[in-house]
Amino acid sequence: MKKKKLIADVLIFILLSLTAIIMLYPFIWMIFTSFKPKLHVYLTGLLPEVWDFSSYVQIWKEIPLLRGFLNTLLYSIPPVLIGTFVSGAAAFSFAKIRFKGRDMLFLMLLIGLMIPFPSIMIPQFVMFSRMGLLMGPWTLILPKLFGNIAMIFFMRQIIIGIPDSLIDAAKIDGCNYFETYVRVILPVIAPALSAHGILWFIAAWNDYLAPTIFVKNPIWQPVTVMIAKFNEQYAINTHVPRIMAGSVLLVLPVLVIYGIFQRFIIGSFMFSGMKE
Amino acid sequence: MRAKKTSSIKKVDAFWGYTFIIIPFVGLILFSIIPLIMTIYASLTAWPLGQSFFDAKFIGLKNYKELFHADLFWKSLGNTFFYMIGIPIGLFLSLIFANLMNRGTGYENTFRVIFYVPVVTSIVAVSFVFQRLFMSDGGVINTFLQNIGVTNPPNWLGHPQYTKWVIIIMSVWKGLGSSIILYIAGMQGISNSYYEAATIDGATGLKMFRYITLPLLKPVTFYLIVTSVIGGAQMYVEPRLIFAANGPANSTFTTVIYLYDYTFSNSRAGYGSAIAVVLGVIVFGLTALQLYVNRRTSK
Repeated sequence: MKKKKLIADVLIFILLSLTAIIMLYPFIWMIFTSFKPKLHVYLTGLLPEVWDFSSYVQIWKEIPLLRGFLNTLLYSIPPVLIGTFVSGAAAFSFAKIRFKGRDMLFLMLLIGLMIPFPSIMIPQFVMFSRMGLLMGPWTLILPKLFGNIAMIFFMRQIIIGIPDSLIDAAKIDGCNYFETYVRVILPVIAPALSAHGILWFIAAWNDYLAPTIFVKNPIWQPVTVMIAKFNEQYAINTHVPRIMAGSVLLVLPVLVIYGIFQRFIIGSFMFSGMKE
Repeated sequence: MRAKKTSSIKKVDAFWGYTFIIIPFVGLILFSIIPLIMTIYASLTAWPLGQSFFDAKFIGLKNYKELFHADLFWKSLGNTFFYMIGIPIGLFLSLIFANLMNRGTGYENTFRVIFYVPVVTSIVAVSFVFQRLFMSDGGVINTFLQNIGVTNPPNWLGHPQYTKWVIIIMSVWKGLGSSIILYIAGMQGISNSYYEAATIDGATGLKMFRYITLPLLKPVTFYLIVTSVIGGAQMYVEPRLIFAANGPANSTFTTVIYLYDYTFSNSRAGYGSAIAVVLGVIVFGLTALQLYVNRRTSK
């Protein structure tokens, strides 16, 4: 019996390792290719025979990369922080505070999840245009400040599990609901909330469709759009290493952040996840 | 006295309750509800994008008539649905891998983390990479296929029969980690007592999976299907970046690309809005259908 389990363990380990290579291979290929000279991409070896950094130099010369990264940070950090705080408060309200029409309002909010972005992007574009926002950064900041419905949904599930006695104790100590939220609820939900916050930050970092429509001023474009343009231009004359260098720059910062928080992100799903 | 006190507590509760939810609600109204109403109205007008929304000329259902007679629209819709073949494939694979990664061995967490990497990476970057991997000559995939003896590997990017599969394979690869994690989380929520009882009754692994794990994972499966369908109906970036000009014979063209091009390239915002409404109705209808089926089968 024990021997049988050991064999199963080894076989599964081999299977998972092979699949893991498939999962990571595109990234490995992308990194090595970005360091090859243009014509060497037709050689079959994975590793570059000559290490060539010119693709990165070229990107640096052609696009305002630093500005692009700063723009992306502006679109993905402050609004997500504020939006996360707002979402947590709303989740607390839906989970623990009694008021008229609460569950009805919650359902209404969930319907918002079913409205696909492409169905509303034309009027959003027109509204932003009317407000004169298309030439600046606000179109990618403003909507996030109002919170994130999916996040409210998940946080509500978690807050429901917090014992009422904890909230009552805060009340007896003279806390109003805002103080209760900040001092009692936030510390308890912090791990799950930050994990969802990080995923939202990554989604904002990777966003592509919205900025192509809502940001008309090239200097305010996030780095995704800048690099996509750069890549499309080099796709025409098939300069593969340049395209891959662009892709590496897009992926790397997110991978670093994911690498730092991975245990935390995956772990928080294990707890919060899907308990209905 | 007591009644008065409870009513004042109720008032305080209501004040904070509404205060906390008002911001997301204003957001919902401002950025979803109002635009949705505008889209529905605009779909009934001839509205050049540059012109003011309020000056758009009302033309009734003309946009819809044109839309339903446009071959390109049906083509785009067919393609969009075709991509959803990836959803059951992804669910099937992620169930298998979730099982393999939830056996209590020491190394599993490393695999969970690795499988999740594609989930967090930029779809823009990944699209450019897959475009190169699937090149018919010199691409990694076909070189590999030739090495294992496939003499005539598919022309992935050039033949309408294969183009959609590039996107399906990429979507499955990119989404797998996310479904695996949610399945594992679901599995860990299942109490051990079920399995113990089943073991006493002499049930084997596969039977336990079929009669205990799978039914209890239904909420996760349901959530995954709903979100993947909503996401799949909005497919845009992948075909746009991998197949710059909609692929051979428009084989990778999707409804959202159609919507985007008519609105922002041809400036026909009224017609674009009609496409947007149809898309919204489809997403809404599919979600409602799934909710209905889920409820019926739960009884």
